[in-house]
Amino acid sequence: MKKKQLLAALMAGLMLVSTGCSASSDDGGNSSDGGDSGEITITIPSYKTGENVGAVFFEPQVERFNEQYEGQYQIELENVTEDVFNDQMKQLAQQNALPPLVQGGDKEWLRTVVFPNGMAYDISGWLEEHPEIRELMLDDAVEYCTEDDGAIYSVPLATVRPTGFFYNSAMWDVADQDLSALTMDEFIDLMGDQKIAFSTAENAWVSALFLTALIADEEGGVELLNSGIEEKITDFTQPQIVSAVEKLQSLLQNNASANSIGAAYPDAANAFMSDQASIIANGPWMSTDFEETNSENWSNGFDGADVRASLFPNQVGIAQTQSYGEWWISADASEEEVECALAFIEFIYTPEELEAYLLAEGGDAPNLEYSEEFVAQQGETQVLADLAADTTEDTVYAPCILDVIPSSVANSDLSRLLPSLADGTFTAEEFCEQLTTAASEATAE
Amino acid sequence: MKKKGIKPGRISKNHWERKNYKWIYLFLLPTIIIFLMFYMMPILQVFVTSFTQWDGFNEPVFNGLRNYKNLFTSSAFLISLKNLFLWALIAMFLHVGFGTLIAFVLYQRRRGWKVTRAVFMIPNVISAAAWAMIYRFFFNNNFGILNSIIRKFNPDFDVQWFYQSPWAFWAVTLTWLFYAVIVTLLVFGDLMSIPQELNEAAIIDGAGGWQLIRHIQLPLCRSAIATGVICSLTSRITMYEQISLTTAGGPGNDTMSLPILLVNAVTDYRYGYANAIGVLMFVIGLVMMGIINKAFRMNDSDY
Repeated sequence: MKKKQLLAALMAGLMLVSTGCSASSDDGGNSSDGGDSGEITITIPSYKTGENVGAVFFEPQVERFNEQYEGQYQIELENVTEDVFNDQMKQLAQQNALPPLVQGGDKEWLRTVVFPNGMAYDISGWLEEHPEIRELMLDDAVEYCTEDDGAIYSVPLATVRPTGFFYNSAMWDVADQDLSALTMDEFIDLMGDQKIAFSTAENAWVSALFLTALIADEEGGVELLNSGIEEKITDFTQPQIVSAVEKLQSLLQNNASANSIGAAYPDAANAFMSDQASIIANGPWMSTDFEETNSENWSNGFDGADVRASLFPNQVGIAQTQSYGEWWISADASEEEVECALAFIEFIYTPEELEAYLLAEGGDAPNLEYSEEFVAQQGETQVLADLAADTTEDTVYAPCILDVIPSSVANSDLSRLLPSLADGTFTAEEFCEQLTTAASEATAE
Repeated sequence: MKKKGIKPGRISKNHWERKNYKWIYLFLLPTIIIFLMFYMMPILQVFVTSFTQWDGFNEPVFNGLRNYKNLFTSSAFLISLKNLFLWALIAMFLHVGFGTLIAFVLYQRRRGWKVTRAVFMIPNVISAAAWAMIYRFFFNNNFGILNSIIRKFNPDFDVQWFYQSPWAFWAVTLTWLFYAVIVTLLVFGDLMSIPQELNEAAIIDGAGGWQLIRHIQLPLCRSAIATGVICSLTSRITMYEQISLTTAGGPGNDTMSLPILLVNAVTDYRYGYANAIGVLMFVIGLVMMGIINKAFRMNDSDY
């Protein structure tokens, strides 16, 4: 009997131990490994991996870093889907298991939670010791990233990638015109019955870019959009927005490609790359889709070589210079991990890496003196050359509307309401009222 | 006062019970701990924080009933309640009815019934998200099967099923309406366990096919049907993927649901508000289960 009791007690104890204590050994998988070799290894969860479009440049960049610092530093990438990346970072933060070097994160979360709660490492001292890097950074970005006490947590951007639109010159032969120099009304007139690849599903990305350009074209529109950087826009009945929505409604009804309603971004891209639409708004990173190596995605006679790019009318480029950068370092990182993370940041801010980035994904580094080789190579990619030519000191930068309105309105309500705007169920005013209601409910305390 | 004596050499029943309880409790302990940690605590946390303003990270700040007040004055919430009510009715009568009908058809065990049962199971192994994507193609206005067939008869037909009122509600409904395999399996299980003597006795007494179903088989499947109704209704309360991946609650608020509102609130870091929605979903679920329990007399014996 005693033996049975002992066995039973042992089993019960084992069950307790296995259920109650098994979670305690998990360290989130982000630990660094000094190892016996002395090499510092850190693991970075990143969405720019695997099939993600950003992986094309980022993964080789990490490999270049690892090669250059072989035996000293090593960065390993952990694949995280872009859709869940921000949520995963929040969960890791709640478990005190953030990676030493963190790739972005939800801006609002960084502003209201991470930075005020001392969860990030202050790089202001390091930047002072590296003036050559500080000088490359955008002044607006440095100003935005500098906290009231002078601390800098997010690594300010050195590049800006103004988003415009691409057009198929074989379908719309306007390559001899400077489209960004036109007014919006002239542009719409010139467009005639050309089809635009819109999207209304997910966050209605392509439609949102056009809406941003239309708002920026209104008097006071750019200021209105910029005001949303500090305080989210919740009143959509402002005249600039209503007027822009009226024009968007007209474009959706007269110029939208056949699959626009209910289209997610891939559907819109497909419409453009199958000659069903001659215009699509998107960032310069789309340029890789027009390279011959990606021609398996083309159909109906579409040829990437015919694609040209432009900023929006009135020289509007959708970009946010007053924003956090891509990287920040966790305050919980050890000295070795911080050393490795800073070495990586220093590496990606070298002129060679910045130029490689611009060649791969487009954009401009206003404070970088380009090498001749870079200028020559940039000219080889037509759409990047078009955008570079349009990006001048007269370029007007405006943040995308999705970044300056409440998250749920950007990610859900806009796409929920756009079909009703397109089919005329809502007038522009009604659409704006609906958005205002959604925004006020989203921000009600 | 007399005292009940215990005969020497005999151990009382209570003694053994007490001794056994010790071990029962010990073995129950892991389950109780898991229940408390992974069910009770989160549920309690949801209840408590529904009365706070909470961004999910900083300390929650008590704000009384404000989240609930905001909720009940939100037009989207009221529409989502109306939608839930309609979907619950459709689920209860059409979805469960269809599942039950299939179970009775299978029970006839005609030729090929096993293949039919297997085929009917297939949709259940495909995720709701995948089904939503399949239906996006099915209902597509340009190349979807449905509109292509309709255009054979009416070339001018032009309906965006997921993006036009009032069709969106019905298009979303169709993404789950006929996938009632859970109900079918539950009812079929009960049908198979009906003693053959009962059917034979009824037949000897002159009961025909319909009478057999109406007076013998259907009443004996009462509990399974009730369980099917509960499963179906709770699925409607928590229905998210089918809506999020198709209409996102639109057009307007036509297909708005409580989980969509909850996720939107989380997106805006309004965890207190989101948890208030969670509490209401929990309460609605409990009320529905109570009503079904009563209506189907689930505590009564079948035999």
